[in-house]
Amino acid sequence: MIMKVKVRYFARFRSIVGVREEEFEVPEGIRVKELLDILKERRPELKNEVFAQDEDADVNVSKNGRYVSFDDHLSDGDVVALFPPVSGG
Amino acid sequence: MKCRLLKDNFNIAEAINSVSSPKVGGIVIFLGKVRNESHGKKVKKLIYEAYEEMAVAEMERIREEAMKKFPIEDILIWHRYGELEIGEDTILIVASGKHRREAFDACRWTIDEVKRRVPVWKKEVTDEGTFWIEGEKQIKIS
Repeated sequence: MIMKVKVRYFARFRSIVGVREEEFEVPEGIRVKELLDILKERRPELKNEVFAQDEDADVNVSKNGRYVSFDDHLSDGDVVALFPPVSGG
Repeated sequence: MKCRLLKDNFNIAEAINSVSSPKVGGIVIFLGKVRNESHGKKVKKLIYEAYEEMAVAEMERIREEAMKKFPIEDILIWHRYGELEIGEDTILIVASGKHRREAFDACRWTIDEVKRRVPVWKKEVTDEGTFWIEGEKQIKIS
């Protein structure tokens, strides 16, 4: 089965991808880390510029506005955001 | 509202008023400013970008944690976004307590958590180009 998830990009990652948000059809119930693998394939620029140096690059992921671990499962309609380490304050 | 993301400057008197009550014996304020130097470069201005909905939600979570962790009366977290010039205010934390100690402790803990967790990013426009700031890292854009 297929489900839809929205992916949002912020700060430098948005500049790299060139869009703020896009929707992906992915296998139902996948984990965050599996979504990241799909994104690396469909968005080679992310693979080259974000995940290039090491697999554990500084990538923060949130699901529906909360930080999640890479092992968390996703559901249909989830909004996943990818962003670099924060620098507010 | 105790957690806000705003474009305009802070009304500090309003902020102090909103955490005040007859029980309060001390208020501690942290006010962040745009500094004219970063990583040895001369800064012209800062541009803050935010994941707005999550930034406010994360500030609310930090505020609730601070209220549980410290015996304070109240605390607020306001953060600005958009283009800010040198000397402008960037972040405001105001903690109130019966006594100063818990207000100081809560204020310090809260600013550290905000800097670590709230999805806001700064772009520094300097005399040597423009940089994204990511945690401790500075990444050149142009």
